[in-house]
Amino acid sequence: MENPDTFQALFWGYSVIWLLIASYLLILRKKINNLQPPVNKEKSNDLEN
Amino acid sequence: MNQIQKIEKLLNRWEPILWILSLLMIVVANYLIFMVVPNERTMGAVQRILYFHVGSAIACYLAFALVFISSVLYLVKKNHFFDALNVSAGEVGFLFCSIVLATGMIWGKASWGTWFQMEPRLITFLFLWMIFLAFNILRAFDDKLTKANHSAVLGIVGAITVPIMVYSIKLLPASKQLHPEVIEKAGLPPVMLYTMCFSILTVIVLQFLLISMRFRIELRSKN
Repeated sequence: MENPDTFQALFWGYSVIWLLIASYLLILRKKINNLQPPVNKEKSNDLEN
Repeated sequence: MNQIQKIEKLLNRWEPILWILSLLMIVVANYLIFMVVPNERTMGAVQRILYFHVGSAIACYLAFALVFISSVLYLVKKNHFFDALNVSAGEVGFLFCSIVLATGMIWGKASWGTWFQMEPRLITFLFLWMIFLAFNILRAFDDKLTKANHSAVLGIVGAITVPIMVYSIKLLPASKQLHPEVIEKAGLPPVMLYTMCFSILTVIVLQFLLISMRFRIELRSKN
């Protein structure tokens, strides 16, 4: 018995998976870029003194 | 060194390992899915969606279990560390919940001829997705002072829906539902079973990477 041709559905299925994951990674990257690195209070106190 | 800096140090150590591990595992999983596993006889190529569909479902259940634990701990201890964990797990869990819903619909259309059917498993899963959609909307728009409490309560309600959803399939006989009850009954050949186990592990590693990245953002934004 020959397999039914469902390749198009498989293509869309995996496209959706990687599109959603890639979009979320881009959103996270954008959020990380918008944040300042954590301030090391000990070092900043030393600099002030 | 304060608590947040200690956590940042820990994340700095683990994140590169998780990145490398998840990238390697994704490559191997895709090789297994597209090059090694044969086509299923009745459904054809689309059955290969199973590997990431089941993996994403388990990842989303794990994330919602984390939401439940962090929600309870936040309500008891009022520590922002647990709130940050709650947001991160809720957001990543919602991502994997959306993947399960979308791939399930695409797979359903190709093999059952319908995008969606009114049956217990599918309805309760849609309900779960809606609860975590509300959870994420709440985090984005609620008042800064109250959103941690509100989302912790909603997180608990959402996480309680998971076991209801899992057992909802027993409400109707298998012959009246399209969604299969358990995979073991279908008798997967060993190569498919090993590929599925590896794919589940891959998605879980990827999920921990995403939660870790989101957790770092939340911790930094609170300080």
